[in-house]
Amino acid sequence: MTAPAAFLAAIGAQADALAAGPCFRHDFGIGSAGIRVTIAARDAGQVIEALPETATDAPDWQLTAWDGNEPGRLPPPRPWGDTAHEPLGIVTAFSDETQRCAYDLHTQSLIVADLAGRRACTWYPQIATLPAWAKASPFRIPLSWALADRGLQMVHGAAVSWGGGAALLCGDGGSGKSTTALAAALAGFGYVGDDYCAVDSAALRVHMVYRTAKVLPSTLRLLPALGRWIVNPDRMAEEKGVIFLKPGQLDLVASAPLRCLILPSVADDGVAGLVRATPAEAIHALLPSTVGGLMGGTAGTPSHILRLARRLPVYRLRLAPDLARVVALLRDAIGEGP
Amino acid sequence: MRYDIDAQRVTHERLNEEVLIINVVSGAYYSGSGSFADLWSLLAQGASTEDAAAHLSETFGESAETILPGIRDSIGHLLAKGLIREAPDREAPDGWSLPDLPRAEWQAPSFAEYTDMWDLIQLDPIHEVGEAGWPFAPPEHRT
Repeated sequence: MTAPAAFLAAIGAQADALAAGPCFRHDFGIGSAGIRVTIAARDAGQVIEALPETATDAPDWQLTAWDGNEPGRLPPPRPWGDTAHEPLGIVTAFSDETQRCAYDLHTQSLIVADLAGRRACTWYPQIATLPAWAKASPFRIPLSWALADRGLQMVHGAAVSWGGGAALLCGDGGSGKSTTALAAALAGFGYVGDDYCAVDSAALRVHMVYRTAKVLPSTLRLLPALGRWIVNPDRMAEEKGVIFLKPGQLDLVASAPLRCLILPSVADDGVAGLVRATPAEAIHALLPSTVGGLMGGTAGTPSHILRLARRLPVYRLRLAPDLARVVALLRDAIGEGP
Repeated sequence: MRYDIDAQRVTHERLNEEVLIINVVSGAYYSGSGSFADLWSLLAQGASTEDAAAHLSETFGESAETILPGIRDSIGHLLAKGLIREAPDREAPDGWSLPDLPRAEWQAPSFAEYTDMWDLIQLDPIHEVGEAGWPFAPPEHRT
């Protein structure tokens, strides 16, 4: 047995043993993907609350997670060097078309996936003490691999729906995509996500991946109604405020047809506006943070992003303090889509 | 010399006149169109430098001698970036396939490179991000 195969087998055996004990379990669907999350930990925090509640009849991907540094819970010694995961997180010497090994330096988690067996294992030092932003978007990397197996691409972007169609908002840092999505959701739009969503570039649909929202102080000043739902208000000087959305707070939408790509940017002149943009602008707004945030993406990533940018109308949405006007322009853009 | 693409390191897609290439190990990505997209397609199919020059000469109505230097330069850049690798044992395919598109006048193949991802990915999501949140740096971290 090769070293990568042996490591995969050892991690899998450990996951099986831990999953046979007390666990938190949650089955959910994202588009055509059915996923079962099993967490073998004393306290899973609010991790499961971040995941969709969409029912699935047949979960065919297993995501197993556990934590702890004590014997039996600590993963097998990593058979690679300290920097083997650099630069993006993937341990290339232990990854091929059948398996992937990765290290997420931000959560100090080890991720090992058996792609052929449709299974991924994640070890964390301690799940309950993960920062709120990490609990709000758990299993991002293995989820992106599971979704790719079903022809879906996880993307870094926000999405909202109106009148049966949806817009995917993508853009540079500080462009205002989260603020725009949350302002729209508070104004009655369907909320698909504000950070990561899944897209089907063939069917042109967008799917919810997390039922959470992340709020900056500047967003909260513009949208104070969000303040009552933030779970970590005492931490907002250091990190984003996080909301685990409940039914009735916003209109949570699991899936919607995509009508357009929106590139928000703050208007220099303070006047809100909507102008057509190019597919190239959309690619460069969507690709870097999607690829960077997903450890390089998957083989299908270039295809999905090219197709989205080429098949959907792209608009630059100039943001201004008049958020009602911004939301009206977003409604116009969705209405004019394909 | 023929070339191939290491699927574990490089993902790519061509759509009409545009090609998008991602080095999934470094996080850099590349885009190009026109003659570059055609050259990439031919290299991915197993073309040698001479094969590519002959086929692109026919496609663009320009002499192989004229276009060969630009093709060599572009292949050199692709090798240097690790996007293709030499594959001396690769056999020539039966033929070449390029999309049926209107072609402009020949221009030497060129592509744009975007390499700003790694610096962003290394940021501490709590302490080193700006107002936009991870993976975006505060302005003072941008170069």
